[in-house]
Amino acid sequence: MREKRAKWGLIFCLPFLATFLIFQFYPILYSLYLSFTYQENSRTFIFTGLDNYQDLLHDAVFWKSVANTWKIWLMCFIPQLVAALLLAVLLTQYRIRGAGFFRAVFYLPNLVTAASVGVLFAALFDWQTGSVNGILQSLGLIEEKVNWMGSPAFAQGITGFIQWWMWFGYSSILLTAGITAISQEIIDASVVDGANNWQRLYRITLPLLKPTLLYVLVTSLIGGMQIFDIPMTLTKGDGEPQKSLMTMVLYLYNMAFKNKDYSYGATISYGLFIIILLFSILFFKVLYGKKEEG
Amino acid sequence: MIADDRKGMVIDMARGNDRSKKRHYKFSFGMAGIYAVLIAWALTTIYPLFWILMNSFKDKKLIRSDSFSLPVGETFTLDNYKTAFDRVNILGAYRNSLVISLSVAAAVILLAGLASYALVRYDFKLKGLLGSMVVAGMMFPAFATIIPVIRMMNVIGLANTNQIPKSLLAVILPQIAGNLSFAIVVLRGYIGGLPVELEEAAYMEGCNIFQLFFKVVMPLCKPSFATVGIFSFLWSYNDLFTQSFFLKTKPEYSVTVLLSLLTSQEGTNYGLMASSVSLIVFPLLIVYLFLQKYIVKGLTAGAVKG
Repeated sequence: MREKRAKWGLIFCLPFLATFLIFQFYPILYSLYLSFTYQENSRTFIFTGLDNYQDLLHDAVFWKSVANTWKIWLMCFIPQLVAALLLAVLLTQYRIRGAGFFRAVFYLPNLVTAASVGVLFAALFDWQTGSVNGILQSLGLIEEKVNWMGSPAFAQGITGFIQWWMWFGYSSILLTAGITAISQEIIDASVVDGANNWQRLYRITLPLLKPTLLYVLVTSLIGGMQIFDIPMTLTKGDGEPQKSLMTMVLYLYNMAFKNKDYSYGATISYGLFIIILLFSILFFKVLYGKKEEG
Repeated sequence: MIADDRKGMVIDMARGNDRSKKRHYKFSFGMAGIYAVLIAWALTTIYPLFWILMNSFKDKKLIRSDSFSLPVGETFTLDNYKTAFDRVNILGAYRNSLVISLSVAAAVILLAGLASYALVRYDFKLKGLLGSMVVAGMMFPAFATIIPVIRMMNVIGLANTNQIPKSLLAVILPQIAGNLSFAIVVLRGYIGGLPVELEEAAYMEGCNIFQLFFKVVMPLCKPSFATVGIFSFLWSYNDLFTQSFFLKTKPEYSVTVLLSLLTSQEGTNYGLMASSVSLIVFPLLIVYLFLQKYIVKGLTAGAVKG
């Protein structure tokens, strides 16, 4: 029977093995190979070593896309963490009637197809007819209509805000789960020892929440570096105004889809891959590195 | 059984929280402030969705001049929906999206289930290696594999054919690959928690390996299979990146591709935009209401266990 089971074990794993090798492992190696080549035409690739990477290092649009992606991610992540922590603490430390309902509502935007969120906010922020200008004018906060999507700073801010709107509920669900997992005994002990709500938050909840915070940080970084749907929908793929919404993946999309330059596209994807890997490790080290010494 | 579960959930939602713990609600001004914050906050997530639904029933000229009034009486119109069905072919996009996402979800449930079962219960060569592949699979993002996948699809003749089934398949295959690793990680945890005695008993009764999997393991792990299925469906449905490379002509569009191109193709027809967004968003939200429990569970599965 043991041998028979061994045979079936492997057979059951074959579909996974096949899709992994064909659609993930082979492509990621082939991408690496492509990044070392020059694409002469759609079929011929000539090996050129590190030329593409040298081009990438001197590619102003690439570095602009790196900076844009980071700006948008930070504008989304920092408020998102604050909001998610606040909500998670409110919903766990206090006895809120309808806590489940609030959680469900806060998570709602994350479920909505990003492309439709893009269309929705494009309509809200449209400068001639959009409601945001309408509200601000009627409140007397602005006199002239603001051309939101015409200004690089506003366009990035709005994209960051949309990402925030879509993701704070998700982070808050994760943090709530993390807080709930903290043993009630520790909390009871701290209450007995006379800790007030603030002390409890700083001394107990936040330190014990570190693994969850790290998870939220790293998943948000990985997702945020790959932002594509919202800038794609807002700008029809061209990353305007003044390339301020040209993110790394959008640049990759333009290179591969519009220019059909697969070699350079593969180089961009490896550049992005390295950035994500480096910063994931860095954040992990910063949050966990001290633990071993202390 | 399932119906009962749902009822219980709706009751839970109505009551607000765990049924198991009795809670005492105190009223104070501090608490009133907290409720005010929470309610205002909840409105910011609901209002944009309400706004788009409301405007979908108004004439496009009226949206331009006054996007806040309610569409009641004479201003109520279904014209935008007519346009969405006639001109934008939203039904076709829906069909394509559903074919893609249901196939992906079904394949992921089946294939990840079988692989997880084998990885938990069987001993065989390469088991350790397969385990590392699962972890590696979670770390390979779509953007890093897409270019070779495009070339591969060109070579095997699934891309650029203008044939809908082929183009859909070109999206389905890489999406299955992209979702399997996550699904295996989740399912492995749950299947590992099942007592092996049940399967041994069923084996003694004469069940073969497939019966063990389909009649014993799958029914026992129904909630986790549901979680995996829902997430694979949602990720596939909401994915724009992979889809935009393979669905290039109008009849092939999925809902996400259709939406992402709507602004460039239909200009600033906000009536049409509102009705299209509503048609795509609200069915999903209604489904969410019923499946909320599994979704929250799936979200936290990775984070707390670490």
